[in-house]
Amino acid sequence: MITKIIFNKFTAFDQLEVDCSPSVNIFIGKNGTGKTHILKTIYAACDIIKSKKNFAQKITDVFLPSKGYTGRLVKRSNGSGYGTVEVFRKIKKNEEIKIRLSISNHLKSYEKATVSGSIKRWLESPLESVYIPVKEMLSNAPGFRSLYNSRQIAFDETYADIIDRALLPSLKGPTDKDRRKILKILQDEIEGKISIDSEEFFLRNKQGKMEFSLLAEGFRKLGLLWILVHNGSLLNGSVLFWDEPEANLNPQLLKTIAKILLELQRMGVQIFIATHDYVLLKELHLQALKSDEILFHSLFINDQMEEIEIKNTHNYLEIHPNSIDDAYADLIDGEISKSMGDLGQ
Amino acid sequence: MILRESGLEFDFSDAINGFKFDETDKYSENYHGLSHCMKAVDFIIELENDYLLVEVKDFHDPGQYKESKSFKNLRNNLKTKFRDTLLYRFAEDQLDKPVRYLCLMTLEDALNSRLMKELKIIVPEGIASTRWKHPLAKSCIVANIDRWNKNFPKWKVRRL
Repeated sequence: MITKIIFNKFTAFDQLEVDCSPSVNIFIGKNGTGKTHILKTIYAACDIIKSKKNFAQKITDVFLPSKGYTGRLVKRSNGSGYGTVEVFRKIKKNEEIKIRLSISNHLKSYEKATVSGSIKRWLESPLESVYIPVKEMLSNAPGFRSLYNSRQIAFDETYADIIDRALLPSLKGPTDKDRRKILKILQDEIEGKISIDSEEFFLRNKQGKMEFSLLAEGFRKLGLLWILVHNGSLLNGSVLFWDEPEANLNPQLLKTIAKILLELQRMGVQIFIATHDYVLLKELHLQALKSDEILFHSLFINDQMEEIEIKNTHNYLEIHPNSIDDAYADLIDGEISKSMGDLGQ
Repeated sequence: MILRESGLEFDFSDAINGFKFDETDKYSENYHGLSHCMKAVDFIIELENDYLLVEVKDFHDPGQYKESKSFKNLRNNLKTKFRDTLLYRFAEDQLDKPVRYLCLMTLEDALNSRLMKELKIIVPEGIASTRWKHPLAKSCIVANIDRWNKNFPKWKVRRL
């Protein structure tokens, strides 16, 4: 379980420390406040446990800086400088370890970056992680992996990774009760199950077999979750990163998404979400039980310092600043001005 | 003109007159007296060219939750309060200026935005029929404390 991450002059951040909930972490904030950067960095630290890649290489591959220059991940400043990231993880009740990456802004290749901390312990203790990027990928899966491996294409590695995770074969043995419950919720919504045939994904239901490219995007997203739960990528102890679950979804489906996220968390999946969506935020708040430890992280730019800061709260009503609700405040101001003119001013 | 309701204090600085409309004190000159059959908004404020009908609900006050268990109840309750107040004022022959309905609801902006939209339809706001010569409500507004103070600096509200 990830417990904390500290950035120092890395990408958009000058100094930022994020304490993580073991359950659900929701990041909100305007564009450019670094929500995706937090998700990607923690994901890179989690993924190397399985892929055994170098942390600096993985970070470079998921951020895709220009020409692959790792040094471009250091926050822009005059002259020479270093950027660091520290990710903390609890592997036993009383054992927290960290992994640290330090990069000079002159660095071209990841190979010269310094990775330190409890690297051996970090890589030895198993952890499953899944990163669902904003753009839906399963309908592009056929041939994507071989293209990604053989050519320079402008897709960061989270896109190739999610296809890899989705193509994993099913786990051996019977599906446990918790996973069956989640699969059932998904099957009721998509009215079928997913099958894979030579890198191509299909929805199988009463009408027959439908390829993903012909499905509504909302169904593809729910289908992806079905696959990840079914093949054991999302299990007790896994970490799920999901960037803007609301993208291309009908708001009606967000109720189901919130329900599934909470069920996954109750099953023991640690969750990191970045969102701009009021309905998703509200549904998570409304459906959460007292025992669900949802932590809302609000990212914002400090007016004086012009640097990104973070505040977190377990209480939905105390999210401040709340960039999502602020958009509604602007609408209210517009309505009042239209209806009242300058009365009261 | 300072008025208080539900732990909130309003200062209508440019008001000609203003009073607590749902007054329950029998000996007050503004005693409502018809609470058994008519609902009432909290305040009536007289401005130079307008009347403001003001309803206040502070959801930090636990008592307010019970009264409006659901969004729909809250919305319909706000409509009835407005309509009954308007009828009462008609009977008093006190509708000589346009009426604007302002609801201060301590809810998040997203909910208030929806509440305002629905209230504007059911009150309704403006000239709603081609047969009408006057609107029932010239304006119909829902705002929380932050929005209220931002948009109405002359009518500041603060929590006591």
